[in-house]
This record gives sequence, C-alpha cells and structure tokens, in this order.
Amino acid sequence: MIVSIGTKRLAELIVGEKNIMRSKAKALTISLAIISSISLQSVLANETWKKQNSHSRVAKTDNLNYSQIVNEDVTRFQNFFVKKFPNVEFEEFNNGVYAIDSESREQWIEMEDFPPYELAVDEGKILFEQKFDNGKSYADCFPDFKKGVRQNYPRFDQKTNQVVTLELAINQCREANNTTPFAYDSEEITAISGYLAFLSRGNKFNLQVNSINAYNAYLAGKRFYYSKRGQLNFACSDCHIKITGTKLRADTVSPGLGHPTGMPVYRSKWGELGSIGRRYQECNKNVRAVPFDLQSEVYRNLEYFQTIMSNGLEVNGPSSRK
Amino acid sequence: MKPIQTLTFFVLVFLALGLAPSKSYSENSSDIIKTISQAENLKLEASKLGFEWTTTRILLADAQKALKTGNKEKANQLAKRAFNEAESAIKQAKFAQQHWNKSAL
Repeated sequence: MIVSIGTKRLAELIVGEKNIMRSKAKALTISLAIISSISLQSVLANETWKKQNSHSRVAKTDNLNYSQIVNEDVTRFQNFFVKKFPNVEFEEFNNGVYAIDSESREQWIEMEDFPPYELAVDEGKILFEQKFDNGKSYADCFPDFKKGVRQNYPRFDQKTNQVVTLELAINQCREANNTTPFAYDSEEITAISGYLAFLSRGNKFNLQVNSINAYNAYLAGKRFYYSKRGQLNFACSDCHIKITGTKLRADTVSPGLGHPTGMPVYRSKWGELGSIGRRYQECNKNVRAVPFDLQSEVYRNLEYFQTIMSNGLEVNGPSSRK
Repeated sequence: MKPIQTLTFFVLVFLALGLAPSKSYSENSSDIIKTISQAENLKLEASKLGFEWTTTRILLADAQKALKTGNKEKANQLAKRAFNEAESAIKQAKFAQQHWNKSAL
C-alpha cells in the first residue's frame, strides 16, 4: 500500500515536473519574444529619434539652414504651451506665472500700481546719462536706446564668436571708453539694464540664428535647458515644461515660455532688481547643483536659447515677481 | 577548571572584546586621506563637466574637519559619501550628454 502510494506520488511528481518544465519553456519563449520586441522597438525608436534630431549635436558644416531649424524648434516649443494652457493668449506668456495663475495675478496687478523696480529704473537713467572721462556716454554705444534695444539681446557676435547679453554689452561699452566694468552682481549694471528694458517695452523679440557658431551657442543653451543636474536631478525643462502649472510647495511653476521678456526682475525675495543670470544661479542652487558665474558662457548661451524660444513676445522688463 | 581560573578566563575574554578595535575604527588616517583625495579628484572632474553638486563640497569639508578633530569614523563615512556623490555627478553628466535630447520639445 505504502509502496503503491509512493509510486503514485512519484508519478505525480514526474508529471508535475514535466508540466513545470513545459510552463518554464513557455515562459522562456514568451520572455524572449517580449525582449526581442522591446529591443526591436528600442532600435526603431532610437533610429527615429536619430532622424528627428539629426541637428541636435554640435554642427560641423555651414551648409544647413540654421534659421529654419531653430524656427522649427521655436514653433514646437511655443505650441506646447499654447496647447497646455488653451485659455491663455500667446501675448500673455510674457507675464510668467501670472499668465496662468489667476490668484497670484490679482496680487501682482495690485503690486504693479506702485512698481517696486521704479527707483532702480530712475537710478539707471541717471547712470546711463553720465558721461565717461573721454566725454562719450552710453548713448554712443546704444544709439537706438530711445527706440529700445532690449529686444536685440542677447545677440551672437560673429567677431568675438560669443553671445553678448545686454549686461555684457553695457560692460563692453564701459571698457571701450576706458572705464572699469561693473561687477555683474552690482546694483548699477542691473539698474542700467532695467532702464534700457523699460525704454524697450512693447518691442518684440525676434532673434535669428544665422551661422554655424551662433547655432552651436544656441545648441549649448538648449542642451543645458534639457539636462538634469544637481543632487535632485532636475533639468530646467522638468519644472518649466513637464510640471509647469502645478504646485511646487505653495507656488505654481511658471511656464518656460516668456521667462526672459521681463528681465531684469524685481523679486520680493531679493528685495531688489536682479538679472536672469542671478535667477539661473538660484534655480541651480535649488536643485543642489553648483551654479555658474554670472555672465559665464554657459549662462549666456542658456539666455540666448531661452530668449529665442520667446521670439514673438513683447519686452515687458523690468518686471516684478514674488 | 577552578573558580579562579574560570574568572581569569572570563576577565581576559571581556578585556579582549572590549579592547578589540571595531570595524569602523579600523581605517587609519592615511586611508581616509586617500578617500578624501579621490573624492576631491572626482568632484573636480564633475565640476569640469559642469555637473558638480553643492552637497559634495560640504561633505568633503566636514570630512576634513572630522579628521582634524580625530573623529576617524565620521571622517571616513563622510569621505565615502562625498566619493559616491562625486561619482554620481559624473554619471549624471555622461547620461545628460547622451540623453538630454530625449526630453527636448
């Protein structure tokens, strides 16, 4: 009896083992099929991505139509925000978070009755009108300042092969007139920049990328914008594209479109006017990444990219933010 | 075994256990200095790539401080954390170089 039961159990075990073997073989086949499918999809996706982004690496030839490539980027970038916030007029995006957050907007409109940057603009005017020792003035460097110059910056200078921001241009003007340049975190340079932005209000940004070197600077800025960094592993795009409109702690995250238009900015947190570079430094520190120097090549390229993405929007600097 | 022998045995075992250096204290200063130096080099590499983390330099400064005050265990832990962070920052930079465009609009 015991032998019979033992034999039966053994037979069951053998059958069970066979079933397990069959199941394992099935599972293995399915797994292989899935892996092959994923690999194939991955290869195809990679190829498609390579085709779509054939201009994403450093350009080496001057035969491409950079202006067209960049304008396609601008269209894709702007369309994203227009679709994401269908109730916001395109022209409104130069108001940053106040374009999408109605509660904060009310407070901001009230604040704008007595703009906190007004004193800095007045100070900027006084500084701008001061003459250098050689008798020349800033007006000689910025002959169109009354019509507005802010919308032309940052621009790519083919001679020096670099992006020139308004702050850099102000210091270049001082150096050209044998005057010591301002520190980039000084109140003076931000005040002059604020004054020039104020005179440029209403003018639209329309920066163009017309050369291989300008394109590579633009691309460096774009790469920075989409690269995750810092201990928190965040890219600019993570906050200002992926989660824009949602809350980060108590604040709504502003859309990436229109960031540079209101620069320089008076932030209540700072209690004074500051440049976009200062804001970049702050963002980098927030994600625990070591920030770059103000007016470093990295930040100038980033500003170039961001401003190009805001082409078509009006200058509304200086502005005020929380 | 006589009671006195038993007592002596246990006293010796107790002393041996008490005096034996624990694992965390086994690192000598030169090993810790070496880890700090390696972490500094990696941090420098991360910095050159533009991806240094703010926290790494704090860890390194604290590790140096702990070493100076003779707290080798803490110094060793901090140095290792700084090493791992700097290594992660370099990996992050390399990942970004290859994949940044995947999230681009």
